[in-house]
This record gives sequence, structure tokens and C-alpha cells, in this order.
Amino acid sequence: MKTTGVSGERKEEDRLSDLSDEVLQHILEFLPTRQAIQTCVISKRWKNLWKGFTTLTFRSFNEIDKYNIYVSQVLSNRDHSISLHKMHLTVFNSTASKVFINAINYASLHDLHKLTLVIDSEVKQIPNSFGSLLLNCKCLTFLDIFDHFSSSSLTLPASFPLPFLKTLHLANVAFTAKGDNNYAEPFSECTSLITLVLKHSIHSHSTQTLCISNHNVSVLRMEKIIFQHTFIPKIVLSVPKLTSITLANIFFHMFYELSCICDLPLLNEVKIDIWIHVDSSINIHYIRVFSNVRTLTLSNRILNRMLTNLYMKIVNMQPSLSVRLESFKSQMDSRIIIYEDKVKMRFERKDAVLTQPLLRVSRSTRPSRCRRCHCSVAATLAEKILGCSLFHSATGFGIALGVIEVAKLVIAPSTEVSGKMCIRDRL
Amino acid sequence: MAERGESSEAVMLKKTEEEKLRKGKMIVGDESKAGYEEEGKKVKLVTSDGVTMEVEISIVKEMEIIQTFIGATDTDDSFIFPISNVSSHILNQIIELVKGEYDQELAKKLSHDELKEILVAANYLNMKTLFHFIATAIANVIQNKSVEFVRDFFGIVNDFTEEEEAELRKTNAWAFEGVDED
Repeated sequence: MKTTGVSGERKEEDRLSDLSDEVLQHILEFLPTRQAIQTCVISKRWKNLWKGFTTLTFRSFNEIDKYNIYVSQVLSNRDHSISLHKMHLTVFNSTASKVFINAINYASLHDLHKLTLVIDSEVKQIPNSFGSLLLNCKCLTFLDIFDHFSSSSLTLPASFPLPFLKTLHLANVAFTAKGDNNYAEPFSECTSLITLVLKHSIHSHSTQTLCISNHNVSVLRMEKIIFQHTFIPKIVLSVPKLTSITLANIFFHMFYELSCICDLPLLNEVKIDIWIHVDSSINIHYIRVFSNVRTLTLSNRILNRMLTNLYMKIVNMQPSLSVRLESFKSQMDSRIIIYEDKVKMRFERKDAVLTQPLLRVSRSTRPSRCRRCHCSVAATLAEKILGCSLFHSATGFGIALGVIEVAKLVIAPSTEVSGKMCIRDRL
Repeated sequence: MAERGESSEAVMLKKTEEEKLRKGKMIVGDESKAGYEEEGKKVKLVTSDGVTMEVEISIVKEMEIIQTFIGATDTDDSFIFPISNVSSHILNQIIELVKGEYDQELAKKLSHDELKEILVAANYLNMKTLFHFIATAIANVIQNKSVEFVRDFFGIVNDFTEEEEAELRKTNAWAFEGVDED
């Protein structure tokens, strides 16, 4: 360490130069790597600071042709005795193979822990070898394949044996069948995996069944499953340690069959967050798969749809939720404008015991156009109408769900966007 | 983070006694809160400008350099810890940042000198969250700025000759070509 400080009044630059290289590198690693490397001309001490970076962020810049040169120069000039912990790499169409193979090979030799791979939207074709090349990075704990909706997708190998991987985010990926049974099971060998996020995963005929089988996965999120119309994909879950699952953006014409072949004793939270109206029976089916959930969140679109379908007797549904449910939340869609002062919700339970409405909510505040106000409506719905406070009685949640199960639920939004919600017990 | 501020316990306690005799006292924070609860407890820190400040234990606990001593002294409030690298002004800033739960908006109000002083202090006190916070804040200041700006910011004297710098820019030309899209 450089100690230029003289006794007495110490000047600020002396104090700063007392800082170790690690401290300066820590700051520089927050910068885009290219700018951080440019600090090499600051002084002799700074000349080689960048060579010890353990984080490299290769962002795009306007001359893509030079990107490949830049990436390979950084990798070949850095200090090879220092392992590389984190890398952010963009793959462009014109340079895809070179940059990717070069960088991944380097990373695999330098114990890369965290990799974010951005596939540029212009990329036309991703060689199948890319997926298996990633497997050379044995030390990966975090892998995020991010995609700008490119026309091609990355194909994952049939199995993905990355034993230290804890977090896996995949966007726009296709799978490889395990045998001849149109069946893919890519994640069973990620023995440390905790969080799995699948966005826009693509299912072909040969992979129409995706089995997510993993003994450790706790958090699972699936968004937009894409497939041809000639078949309905099946997703089979075997995730005994699952605590939280989110199913998002399921299109009504793109639903998939979901089943779970193990018990889910730890299941805490299920969110079904759908933008477009989906046949209620599909949602009921999904909810049923996770029948022992503690916290269930449905978007208010789904809820409205379910209630309307019930009222219209379009579906004959009996969501069989178990007594474990503790909280039921309705998530407001920010695109649905609700004027809070017009929302009057009334809850009634007509049975032998209770003839009084359980709860009436009538709020008069300013119109809620913003997301925050919707949240407050949602909170009202969740807490006052469907959540704990309403059902937290001697009868317990079982009764509450019993009500849903046998009830005729009515939602009748008037033209003034006011809502009246009743729950009646047929018993 | 660098391991610094290597005073041994003995040195520290000796210094403490000296400081105790020498310095006046300045109470910081709401005294009425000081009670029997753990949260209300305060620890006396003597800053580089000789001010004794009473700092809530929840904040002091983030200072790993002092944390080990707190365990040893526990409820005894007679101990005073000298933090010879940190001024009272900077310690006050640090307290604000910790209380403000490290909001980057707060960092925007800090001058460049304050940012640098807090960086030095965070490193010396071994406050990991603060260090990360302030490193991020400094990175935000110098991001997309010229090499000259960064040099000025850190108060570094350029010890390259013109020829050396030109040569370095030439050999590392790949890092200086093109413009970042973001």
C-alpha cells in the first residue's frame, strides 16, 4: 500500500491513496467495464487496476464490429491468476459465435460464478452448441439468459448438470427431449437450484411435456409458454421443496396442462397473474394443483372472470382449497380504472346463523387512477372482503372456503364502474 | 474490503482513557429515548476533531471495527472509542445515511469531498453496507465522465509523461474506441 501521508495535516489525496486497490476496484466495477478500463491512464498506480477486476460488464456499444475485439482484448489482457466472478455478455448477430465461444471458454477456465447473457434482438441463429458450452462453466451459481425477443432461441441440452447453480433465469429458450417420448426434463441435475424463472419458453412437438423435476427448487416462476397450436403442452412438476410459484401472462389460447406429481408440503405462496381473460376452468384447474397453499394471489381480472362465470353458470366449478389457506389477495391490474369512491362492496352470508352482512365497505376518497390507489382498493378487497379479517373467526378458513365452494358469487359492475359484490351461501 | 484500523484492544482502551480525560462532551441524538431497551443504548465515539458523540448502538453495530469491543463491554457505558480517521461532520453524515436506510437520494445531496471522506471512513470503520452504498454513489458520480474528471475527483496527480500516456492509449486503443450506447 502506498503511504505518502506525512504527519500532521494529511491531505485528502493522501487519505484516498491510502485506500487499497481492492477499494478502488470495488468502485470501478460498478462502472461499465469499458469506462473502468479507460481509467488506466489516470496514473501509474491505476494502470493495471482493471486487470484485477472480478466483474466484467460487456455492454453494447455502437460499433458492434469492434465489440469482438474489445471483449477478447479485455479477456486476454486481464490478470489470469485472478478468477472471474461475474460477467455480463451480449451476443450480437454478426459476432455471436466468436464472442460467445471465446468468452465462455475463458469463463470456464476462471471459475465464473455469475453469468448474464443477453441475446440481441438481431440474432438470427444460435448454434445448438451454445447451450452445451455453458455447461463447461461448472462453478456457475447464477445464470440469466436474457433475450430481446430475438427470432431465434437458445436450445438447452437435454440435461443441465450445473451442480452449484442456485438461480436460473431463462428467456426464449427451447428444450431438448430426453428420449423418444416427447419429454424434456432439463433441470433435475441442477442439484443446488433454488430459483427457476422461465419466460417465453418454447415447446415443440418433441418437447411437448416439460418435466420440472428438482429436489431443491423453492421458487418457480413461469411466464408465457409458447407452442404451436397442434398440441397442448404439458408441464409436470416434481418439486417437493416448492414454497412459491407464479404463473404469469397465460393467454387464453395458450394454456397448458399443469400437474404436480409430488406433495408440496412447504407451499406458501401461489400467484396467478394473468393479463388476458382466461377460461375460468383453467384457472380453477391451476388453483386445484396447489390446493394446500397458504397465500393465494389472483389478479382481479381472474377474480372478476371467475365470479362472472359462476354467476352466469358458464362453469361449474368447485375450487377445492384446503384449510391451509390463510390469505387470499386480489391483485389490481393498473389498466383497469376504478374510482374508489364508486366502489361499494357488500358481503352477505345468508345462512341459519348469520343474517347480518358480515362486512360492508363503502369508501369515499379521490378517484384512483394511479397504481397506488389500485393497491389500496386491492388491499381493501384482500383484507376486508376476502382475507383474514373477514374470515378470521371461529369458523376458520375452512368455512370461508366452503363458502366459495358452494356459493353463488355475484359481481355486477354497473356502467359507472361501481361494483357490488355479494357472497351468498346456498346452504 | 481492506483490513485496516488495526489498533489492538489494549491500545484502544489506553487511548480511550486519554480521550476521556482530555475531551469535552457532545451529546448527539434524542436523549429521552435512552432507556433500558437495547435500542436506546448509545456508545461514545471520539472523532478526529476531538468531539465525543453518543451514537445509537444499532448504528455502531454496523462498524465492525468497534463491534468486537461492544460485545466485551456490553452494558457498561463508560467506554469511549476513538475513531481517529473520522471527523464529527462525517460521522453525522454517516448517521444520517444509516438512519435514512441508505437511500441513494441522500447521496445526491453529498458533496464530492463528503463522498470521499465517507468512503475513507466506511473503509476504516469496516462498515460493509455503507461501503457498498458509498462505492455505488461514487460510481454514479463518475459514470460516463472523462478520465480527467475521474482523476480530479480522486485528486490524483498524473505521473505519466505525455509520451507514456499516449503509448498507453495506443496499446489499449480497443478500450477507447467506439461510444457506449448507454
